[in-house]
Amino acid sequence: MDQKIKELMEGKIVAINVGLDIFAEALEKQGVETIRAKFTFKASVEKELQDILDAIG
Amino acid sequence: MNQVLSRIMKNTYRDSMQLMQVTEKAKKLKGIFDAAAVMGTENNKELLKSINLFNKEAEGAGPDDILLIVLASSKDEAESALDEMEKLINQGVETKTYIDLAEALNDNRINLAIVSVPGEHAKQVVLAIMEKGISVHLFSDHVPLEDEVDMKRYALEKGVFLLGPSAGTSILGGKGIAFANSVRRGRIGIVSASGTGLQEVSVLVSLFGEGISQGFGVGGRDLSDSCMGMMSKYCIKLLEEDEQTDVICIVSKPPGEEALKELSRFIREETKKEYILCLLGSDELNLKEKRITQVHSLHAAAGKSIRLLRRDSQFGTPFEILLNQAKEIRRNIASGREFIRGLFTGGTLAYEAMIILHDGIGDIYSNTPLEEKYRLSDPFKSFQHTVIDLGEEEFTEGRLHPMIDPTVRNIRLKQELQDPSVASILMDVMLGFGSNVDPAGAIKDTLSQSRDMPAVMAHVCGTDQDPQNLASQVDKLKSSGIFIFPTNAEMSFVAAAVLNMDNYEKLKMLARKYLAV
Repeated sequence: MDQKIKELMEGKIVAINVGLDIFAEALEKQGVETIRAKFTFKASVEKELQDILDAIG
Repeated sequence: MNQVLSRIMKNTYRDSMQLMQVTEKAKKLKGIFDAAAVMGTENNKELLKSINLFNKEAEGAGPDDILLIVLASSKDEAESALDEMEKLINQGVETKTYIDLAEALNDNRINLAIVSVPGEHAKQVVLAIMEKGISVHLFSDHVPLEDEVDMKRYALEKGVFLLGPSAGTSILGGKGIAFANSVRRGRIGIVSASGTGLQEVSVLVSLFGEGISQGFGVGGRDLSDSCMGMMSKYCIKLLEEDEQTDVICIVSKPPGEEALKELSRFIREETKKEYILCLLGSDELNLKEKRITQVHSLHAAAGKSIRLLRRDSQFGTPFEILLNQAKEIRRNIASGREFIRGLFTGGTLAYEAMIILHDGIGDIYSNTPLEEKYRLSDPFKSFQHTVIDLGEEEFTEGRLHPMIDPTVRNIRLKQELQDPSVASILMDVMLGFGSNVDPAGAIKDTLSQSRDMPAVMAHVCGTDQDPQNLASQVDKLKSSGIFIFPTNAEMSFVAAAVLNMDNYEKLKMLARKYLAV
């Protein structure tokens, strides 16, 4: 069994939460170290523009 | 004279959690009978209209605006409450520190990610996380099926698990993930395609003295023919290797035909431990091995799992006692009241209630029916016997899930209480991390405004170690005259028995199928 999976199954969790804060709070209440992360979504138009720019070089 | 006053905050957004907090505070202000702070979506406006908390000005609120509205004993008190609500919204909430995801993932101690971003963006986020060898609990729903298949294949390549999408609950090494209860640790492992199914089984196991080693919430589509139980099989393998696990309980609605064949083959040929298969609504399977037992309810899944560990265990309420309860409830129901209304926040608990009630009393209408012909034409209006899953999209658009925000159920509860044809109302009360801090209190407040009630029944899914505390939530409901049941299946059985007292043989069959352990 992979080491990280083994740690999880032993409850030795270090978590990252992306999204609703209640889930980070719920983990913290149980003593789990939780990092709150934010993620900026690339709009699809931006991605298409970026692909064109990448192609142009 | 009572006044309904509203105010619109143009082009202002706050998330559903913040708006719920403002609503709750406003309801406690002097002279306020009811209040709401919501985004001005059509859905929210319809809900407010249905409880007469609406006026002409409120019609002007759009989906990008916040609508504040109050029912007060005077105009001055209404104005003062609206001022206070606006102030609370402008104050905002406590700021926490957020780290950019790419930067945060450089911390190589991280072994689990909980992701609840909008479904269309989930794949982008989840792949970036799994690339680092980190397992994911994916709460998001509306994730395209092809994205789920891609993500699960990638997870298996990387040797991590992807729990979800739409994973409401997991329990890893005694820690509850998302909506989970504080349960005992023990020797029963659960692989569940349902969040509330996992909650119900783990809570019942814990209340009856055994415990959970791990609980993997694999998402409602993992046992579809597209996903073919990819993650269920992976989690079963982990539980087979786990020395702390003796019994493995699988919980799901009916799997796809091919997925079921593969799951059955896999368990028969590639596992050794004892299995309880709880595939709600499925036909009898030809399992061929004594170590694999099929059951038809969450109640029986918990009871049989416990009995495999402790042969002499007592689980569940005896048949005759349940019948006596049904008789007592029947006596207090006025004539002319003949229909059941189930108002559930947990989708699988609604499903379990439907299959038991369907076998016990016949046609059950729903927004998530057992068969298409029983689909309600308008989910906001009950018809004859109706069971509603309030966690479905039509009730949650622009709002929090009803396990967090009780508003939508309270509105529906008020409607059902006013319907003179209703004999019984059934509800689940979900406790645990992530859930509302006082769900029983919300129900009690709604019932206190009602006279000449139907029988109101509830099952509280929780433990005394949960943040809300099982005993105090049960006391609160009992003091409002609500009949409390230890399992969702027993509540559903008694509700069926109340309307079908004379059919002893049928009730006996129902108990054998759903309650026997």
